[in-house]
Amino acid sequence: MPITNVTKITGQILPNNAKISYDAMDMIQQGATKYINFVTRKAKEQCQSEYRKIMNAEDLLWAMKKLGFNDYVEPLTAFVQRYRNIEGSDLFTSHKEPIPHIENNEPRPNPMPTLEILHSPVPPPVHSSKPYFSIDTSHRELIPHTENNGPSLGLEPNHMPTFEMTPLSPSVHPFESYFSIDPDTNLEILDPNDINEIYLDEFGVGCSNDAFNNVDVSALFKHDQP
Amino acid sequence: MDQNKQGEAAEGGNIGHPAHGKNQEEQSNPMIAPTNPPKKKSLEEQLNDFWAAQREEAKMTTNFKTHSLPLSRIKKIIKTDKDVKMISAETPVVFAKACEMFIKELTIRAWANTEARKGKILSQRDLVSAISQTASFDFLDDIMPKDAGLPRTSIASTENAYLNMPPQQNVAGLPYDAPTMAFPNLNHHAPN
Repeated sequence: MPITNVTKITGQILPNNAKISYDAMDMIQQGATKYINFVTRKAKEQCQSEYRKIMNAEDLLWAMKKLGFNDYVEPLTAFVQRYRNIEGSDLFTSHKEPIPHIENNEPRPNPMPTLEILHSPVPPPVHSSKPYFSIDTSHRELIPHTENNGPSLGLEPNHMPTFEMTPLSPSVHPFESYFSIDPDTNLEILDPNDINEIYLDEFGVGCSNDAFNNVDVSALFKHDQP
Repeated sequence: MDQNKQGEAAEGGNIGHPAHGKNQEEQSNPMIAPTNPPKKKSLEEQLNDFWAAQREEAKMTTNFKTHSLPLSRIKKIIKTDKDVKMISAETPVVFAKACEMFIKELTIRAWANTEARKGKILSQRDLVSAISQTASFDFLDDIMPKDAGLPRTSIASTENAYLNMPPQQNVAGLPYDAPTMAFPNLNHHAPN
């Protein structure tokens, strides 16, 4: 607080012959600053309790009541009402004079590009893992394909010639053992295994082509599942 | 007693309300007999008159452009609290008015103590005693001088305090203390 303003105010209230020492004037000056800090701290609590960001006159009047300055509330209430009436009319008539505000803009947070980061590394593992999956899936999924889908129909004629050839050449030992095993064990269990072995041995090139086609589809399904 | 009467009359003139001055004069007449009560009542009357004047002044205020205290300075003081980010336009204006009332109330209470010790210069001792006597002024304990205890004891005692005052003021070593050294001596001579 400027000392000249404090001197004027004290001069208004004291008799003409009164004098104030320099120490006393300095003390009053500090007291005025302390008073503003004291009331501001209390008014801030009221703002925060009601989740408001702008401190207004009601907060100051509330704070003064709480801090024991009850005599101030009535004059200041009339003062505020009169101020709003006059300033309101002034603002309504003329907009040239801007209202002084103390504002603090908060920066807006930007969305994190986590999704993009997650997407980028996904394709390479898929490509790198294909050759490995192709070998495993070829052995495993040929069975369900033969059982469920069209390839099984295609494989059946292949299976038929094998049965026909075995009786034509009974002299061969492995063929005889194969023929002899069939009636002893269940056909349902042995058929898929025999088909796999024969199919791979006789038609290597065709198997590889079919395997790649099947692997592509199965690979996509596997990745879609998780 | 004469000084008290003159002081009251002067204060009435300063307030600028002749009606209030007359009321004070009428009320002061029956209070000539008692000695201690008029001091207390005079302070209460002064404060009551002060607040009544403040209410009337608040209602009659028409000029809000000129303020007793600069708004920019008040804003800086408010902004020292980092949690306070936004304030309405009327907040500094209200604070200017409230501070003016605070300074006047503090001055009135301190001056009452000055009159009680029959002095003519308002000093730190008067402010310290005024602050200690008022509950709502407890937040001002931080700005009190370190030797706050001495003024209270000095005020409690009568003639011994006057004898002890000069050396304390000498220790202060300020030019403004020189006149106060002379006045106590005059006060000593007056009752003699």
